[in-house]
Amino acid sequence: MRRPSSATFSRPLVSRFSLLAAAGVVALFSLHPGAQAPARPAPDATGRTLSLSTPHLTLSATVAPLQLARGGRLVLTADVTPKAGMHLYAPGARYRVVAIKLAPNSPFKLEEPVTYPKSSVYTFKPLNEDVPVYDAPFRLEAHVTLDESRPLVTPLRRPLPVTLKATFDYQACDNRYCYLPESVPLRWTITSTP
Amino acid sequence: MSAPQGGLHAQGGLKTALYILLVAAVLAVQSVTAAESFKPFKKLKALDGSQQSLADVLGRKATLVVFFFPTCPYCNAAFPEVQKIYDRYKDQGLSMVWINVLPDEEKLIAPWRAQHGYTAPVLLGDRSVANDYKLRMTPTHFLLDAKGAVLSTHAGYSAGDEKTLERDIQQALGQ
Repeated sequence: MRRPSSATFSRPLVSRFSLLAAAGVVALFSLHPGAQAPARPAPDATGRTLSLSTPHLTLSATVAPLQLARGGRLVLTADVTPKAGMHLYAPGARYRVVAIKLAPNSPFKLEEPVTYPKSSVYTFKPLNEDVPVYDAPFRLEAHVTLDESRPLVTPLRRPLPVTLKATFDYQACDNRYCYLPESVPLRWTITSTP
Repeated sequence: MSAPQGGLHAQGGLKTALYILLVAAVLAVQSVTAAESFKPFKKLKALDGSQQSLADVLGRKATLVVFFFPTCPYCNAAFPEVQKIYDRYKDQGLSMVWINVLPDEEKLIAPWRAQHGYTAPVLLGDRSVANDYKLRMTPTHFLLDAKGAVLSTHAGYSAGDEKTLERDIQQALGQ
């Protein structure tokens, strides 16, 4: 097999190797942000804040209040810190913009528009294009209401918990790579008050 | 008595370490001489509705498989150059296929190709295809020989990468 002609071109991974070499390869790859699977938050039935880290960012998502009365509104907040060198696309970019989305068939409804903060401008040199991005900590805020037809109590008048499932969607890039878009699942259990 | 025993243990440990290093070196040399085959993908839908496997797209001399999606920024930077390479070498034994990895962008592909004048064949993949090849970024290129063995891989794009890619393709075509 020919030797790759550039450092950025690599040979195929070998199928057999010593334990020492394999450990070395694993250690090397673990340093590359793209080589790690994004962290997934553990389902959180009672906590208000979900905190997690992916190879591209850290996210702290909060919903409040955790008790909801008929006609009430929840505020879902996502505090996001892109990791060093990373940027995420902001509204106005023709790429995949960061978003909070509710799961399909959710009993909740997302009130538009999600509040986006001011972005900065990144010059994408390969296309000589100015793109709105987030490359520093920022906060998204979404208001969520419960479907009015959804029962809030059991026939025995006990509070009926409702699961709020959402995702934080993003695509991260740095000055050489764009990583595959990610959809980070978020979940809270909301208790109802009649 | 304990000192000689310690010396024997040390000698044994040294021998074991040397043996492990020797085995590692032999296996490493073997690995360099054996190219890894590109994992065949399941049949994927083409834009004309046909189903195609890796065997269907392998070129006479070489094949470039590129994983992408239409709104991928670095794909949009790289593909004008990759298309030029396709135009230049498609009649000389080079086959090329671009595999979309985001089904929710499939509807964008036809207008995107028309807008940019892309003619390289496209197959419609999904996230499982990305997972199969452990893709973390796009574009990711695999250059294969006539039998489907991987000659080189490349991820991302920087100006000038196309020259390296073209040089590798020329070598694969025997030029």
